Amino acid sequence: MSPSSSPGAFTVFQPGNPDEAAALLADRTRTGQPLAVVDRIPEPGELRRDVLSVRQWRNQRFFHPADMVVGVDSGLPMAELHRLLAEQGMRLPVGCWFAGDSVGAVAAANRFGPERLMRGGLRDSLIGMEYLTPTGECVRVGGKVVKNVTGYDLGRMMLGNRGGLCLMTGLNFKVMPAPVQPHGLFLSAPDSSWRAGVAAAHAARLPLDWLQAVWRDGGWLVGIGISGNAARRERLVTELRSMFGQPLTLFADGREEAPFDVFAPEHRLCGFLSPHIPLSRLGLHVHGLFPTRTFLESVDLDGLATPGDILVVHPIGGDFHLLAPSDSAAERQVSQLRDRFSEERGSLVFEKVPTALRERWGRVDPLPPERILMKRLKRQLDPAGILVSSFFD
Amino acid sequence: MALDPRVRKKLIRVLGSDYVKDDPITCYSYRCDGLTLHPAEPQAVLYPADRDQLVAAVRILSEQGISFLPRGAGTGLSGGAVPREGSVLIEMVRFRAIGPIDPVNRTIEVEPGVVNLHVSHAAQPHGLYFVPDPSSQKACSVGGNVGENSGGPHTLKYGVTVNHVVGLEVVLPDGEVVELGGPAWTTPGPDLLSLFIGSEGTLGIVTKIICRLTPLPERVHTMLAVFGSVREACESVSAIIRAGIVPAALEMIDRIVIQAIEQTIGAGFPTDAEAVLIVELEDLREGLDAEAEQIETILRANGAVDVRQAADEAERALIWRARKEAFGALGSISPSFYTQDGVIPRSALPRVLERILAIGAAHGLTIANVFHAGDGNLHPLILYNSRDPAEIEATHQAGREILETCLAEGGSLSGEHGIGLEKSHLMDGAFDEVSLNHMKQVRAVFNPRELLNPGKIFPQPGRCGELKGRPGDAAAQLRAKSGIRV
Repeated sequence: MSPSSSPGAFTVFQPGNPDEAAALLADRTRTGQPLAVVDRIPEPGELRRDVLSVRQWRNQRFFHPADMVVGVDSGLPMAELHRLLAEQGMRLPVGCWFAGDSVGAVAAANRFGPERLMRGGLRDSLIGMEYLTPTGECVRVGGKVVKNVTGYDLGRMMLGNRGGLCLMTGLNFKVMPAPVQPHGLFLSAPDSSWRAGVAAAHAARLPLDWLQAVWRDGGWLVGIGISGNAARRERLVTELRSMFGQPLTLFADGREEAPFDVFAPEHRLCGFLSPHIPLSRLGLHVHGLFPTRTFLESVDLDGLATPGDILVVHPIGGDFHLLAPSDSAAERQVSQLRDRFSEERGSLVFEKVPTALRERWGRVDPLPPERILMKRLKRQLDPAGILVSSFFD
Repeated sequence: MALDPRVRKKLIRVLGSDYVKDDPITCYSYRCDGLTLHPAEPQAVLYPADRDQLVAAVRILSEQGISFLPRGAGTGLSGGAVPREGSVLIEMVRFRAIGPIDPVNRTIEVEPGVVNLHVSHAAQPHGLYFVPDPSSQKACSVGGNVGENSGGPHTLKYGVTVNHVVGLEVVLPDGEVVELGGPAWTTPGPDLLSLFIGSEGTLGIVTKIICRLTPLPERVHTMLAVFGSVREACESVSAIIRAGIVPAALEMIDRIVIQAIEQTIGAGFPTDAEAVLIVELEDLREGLDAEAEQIETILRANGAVDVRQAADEAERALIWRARKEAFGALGSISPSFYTQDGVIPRSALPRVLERILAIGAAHGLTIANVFHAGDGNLHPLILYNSRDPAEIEATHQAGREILETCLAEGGSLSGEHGIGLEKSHLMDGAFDEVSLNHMKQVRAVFNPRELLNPGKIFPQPGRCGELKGRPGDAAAQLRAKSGIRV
């Protein structure tokens, strides 16, 4: 198997193809040695166990624009997939969090982005998957057609498994034509009064392409995507300006100016958190998944983040990301989030928090039945615990 | 086979005597769903009123090792609700609560016995609707839609049931109650919600559904394009998609079905056409006219001899009534027909449709077509005489060859009807052994004793061989049954 390296006590495996990866997993099952599937290879000092990365698998397996389907290796960077699709005027309406994220990483964490409100998440686009079981067997489910109810949808089930149930090797998606003449409307505001405008647009059922709000440097930036011919855009601009009751600046996609360039398409689709804090400097990252009502009505979004932090919100859909360059205030911040969202139906996911806090905050007692089922699934599909994932701890 | 008296007594204690039926007439009535090919009578039929009654009944059956299965409206076309001999059938018709609706979250909670169309009726005052719209939407239940991951004409743009359900409450085969997903649209961890949707009642019985609602379009533009050949109609479908337009619906109807529709519904479709395409666009009014003009240009460039626009809601409704009642209309020209549900890549439509007609001709059978062209989801309707054993056998063979053609084209066995009993014997052609075994491993997490809806989805040893090995016997068996009328 090549290439692989052993920085210190732990080994980084980078199998050249799925057959090599299958052999590795089978061997690990025989010997009972666990490993973790990772997207980015950690720095040598950060290695806590043997890891397996498939970022070197970057092939496009098929792409048929007329059939609206594409299939790629799981290691292909999401940005590269978006580039391939854009060449043919197509779009996968799922953005990734950080520039460089692979398609497999986005699927394994079931991530989504600013386009979710109209076009959903990965589960709305995934049509097939190839993966390796913890014992190294290759499973192929779903297929290459846009509609398919043949057998259990194990591909969709694997979305969000965080590397604990399988190693994804290939993913097939239904893709859509890219929006026609995309534009964005932008505003900056000192507080979250912009929510009234979003609520009005939502109530009026305006067909928006994307929506994102960012709190940073003590204020809010809001971006709203629209598209279509001139008459359609003009109508949307007029109505949105009326609903927000404050100046909205209009830019064509790709022509945004600072500070609104953080909403540019290369960020929206290929790493919408990256313009705010580089992944390497990220100290704290909490992801909240809650209903639309939580963001538009129930929870006060002001004051959630402190100076220096970043809050990225997709209010319709909906989720938020709290990012901080340091974890020094993590305990207070996480505690505040838990208090403010305690009455809401949803989840807080501790993507990056100090280990001690993760263990304390991440423990839920009693475990909800759905989580118990997930653990049962883990025991059934990986009885030897070969694929390490903190989600299933 | 009647219920063991002791079990019967226990069930009556939790459900009441009116809701535990094991008399011959009731059991005979529930011997099949929309697929009448493989009838089998249940041991009994239960009618729980709510989740607690269902849980209690499931626990009794589970403790006794009696297999059981849920049934919605019985409109399924793959035999998913056909009991294995001796199973107890749990009729979900009394689970009819609808609401509450949350217009801000765009969700509505419903029980599984609610009729599909009633969800949209409840949502309409809020300017919202439930997208999945199978042809049976006036009768089929949302629980059945979840079980089969149902689609409909408008899934091209908006997706199937899995894309419009965000939460479920499920009773597992041991009586445990679990909530999957919720109003937040996404739950961390493996997507069990997606696993359960389309699992054909083999993993759990759904007792509550949180449906995601979609805004009603401000304006709808419906067109009917008339073609002198099926191939030109197929090529128009691909041309529209290639132009970067995804209509809300893109449906094709061939000459045989057009003639049946005109004999029954009288929708004004041209009976001399070889095919018609229904194209529906939805958007703000400002966006629609230009797109409609573009599509009309594409249709005419690809051979459409006429492109009609629905002038008002009444004309649109008539077009859709014709489409949705097309299966029923076929009864006017054939006593029996058998519906297929294979999917192919859209670009393969012209050659696959020609192949299907050739398969029909080779078996001396007429095959009509009305289908979701935009999705490549075929519904070949094999017309046959249920009193002719040879024709029944030929129908089976033709159906199998059609599905094998779909697989050979890189397609799938089913786009929206499910596998059920009907296509389980073809699953090993669609998946390799490892993949099928992995599905069974997953089933074992939720349904370890296979008490819930046994005999579905996965190939059953002997069933196919039984039919193929003794064709005379098989035909006699089939003749004795109630035919393939769907």
